[in-house]
Amino acid sequence: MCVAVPAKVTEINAETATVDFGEGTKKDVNISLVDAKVGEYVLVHAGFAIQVIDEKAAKDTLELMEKIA
Amino acid sequence: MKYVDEFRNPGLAKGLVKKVAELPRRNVRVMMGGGMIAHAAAEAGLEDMLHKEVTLILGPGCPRCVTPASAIDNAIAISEFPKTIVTIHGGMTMIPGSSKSLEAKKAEGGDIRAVYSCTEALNIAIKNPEKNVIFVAVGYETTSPTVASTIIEAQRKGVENFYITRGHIIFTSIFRALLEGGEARFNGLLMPGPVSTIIGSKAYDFIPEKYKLPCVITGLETCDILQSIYMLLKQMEEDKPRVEIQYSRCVNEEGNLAAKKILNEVFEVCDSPLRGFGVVPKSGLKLRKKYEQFDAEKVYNVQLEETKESKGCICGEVIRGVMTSSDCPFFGKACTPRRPIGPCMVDPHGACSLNYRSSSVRGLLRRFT
Repeated sequence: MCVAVPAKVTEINAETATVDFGEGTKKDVNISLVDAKVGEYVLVHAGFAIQVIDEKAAKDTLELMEKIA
Repeated sequence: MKYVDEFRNPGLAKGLVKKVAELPRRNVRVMMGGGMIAHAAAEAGLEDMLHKEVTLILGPGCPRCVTPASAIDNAIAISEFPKTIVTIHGGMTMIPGSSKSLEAKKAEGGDIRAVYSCTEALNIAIKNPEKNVIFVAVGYETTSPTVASTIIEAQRKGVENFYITRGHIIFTSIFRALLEGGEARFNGLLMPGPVSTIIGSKAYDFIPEKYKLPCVITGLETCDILQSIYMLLKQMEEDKPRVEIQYSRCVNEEGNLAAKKILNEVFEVCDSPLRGFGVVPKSGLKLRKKYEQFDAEKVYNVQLEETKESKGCICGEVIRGVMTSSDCPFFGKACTPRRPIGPCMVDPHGACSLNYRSSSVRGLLRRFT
């Protein structure tokens, strides 16, 4: 129920965006809670994008993981 | 970057496990603040991977588990009114009320529909103007802003046959209650990423400040959780408890300001019952006066008989982290995922369901290896 899944924004029409979950799964979601652009990834929960995923932070986390491991 | 596979890299996970094992510690208990963390940890077999001195315990983070039986009883009672459609998130239909679940009520002929989102429930209302459509609103701040947004949409569209129940819970209020109660023993907290994207890391500041416990906000992939455990153990080693964000790709200090604004616009804080805790002050949300036309309680005057939890079921204690599934006389016998008695066995992210499945796998491994 609290599941939030990353998906790529492929199209934006006002408050609705088409997002791609990968492997051809696309869905329209409400993006009124975030400031998302086409090409960015968002976290989707219950038909809404709840956050834009920060690519730089993701890369930094992976780098840090590799450094620790 | 797809933000999933990169954080499940088995080679990276192995390296992290090794580093966790190298840190000095003694009998550390880590509470996983969300069912999803526990689910991801169980799927990845983290408990077996980690050294025996790190015990992962499941706390009260799962919304289906802390939603009280009274919320289900209320929805069942509403479904008995004529011309009424009750809608609820798919995962909630099997959660037991005092005498039955909504799934069982549906089998008896109640018009109960599982939906993916509150928006879907609103669309059902628009398509069925001759009926009242009720959305059973449960869950934390991950979900409540989506409901708030839908309420504003319903008002804008002038929908007059759409209502929600009072069931949203303020995530941190459960941990305030848990820590205030002082029963549960643990040395650090892993908090789930998704709800934290909304509320922000500052919402957890009271945990290190008042209770001197380390706290890490974690993503939900295997490497995320391992890195978060590493960060927690490091904090313990340094003896400097604080809130750290491992899931920095989605969480910041303040959270999602647009979501918080809409929550505050539509809802106000109220006292609310939580399974395992009783009524907890300032733990729930109710619609503000200007949106009360959508409040199911204003329309359906339901008088519930006294709510009953299943006798002998220790889900309340499991939720509070003071007992484990194996302490329950029903566990794996009268209560299984196919015939659950309590919410912790119903929910695939619940402690009993997770423990049942992992103990079944361990049993099979013992038998065949």
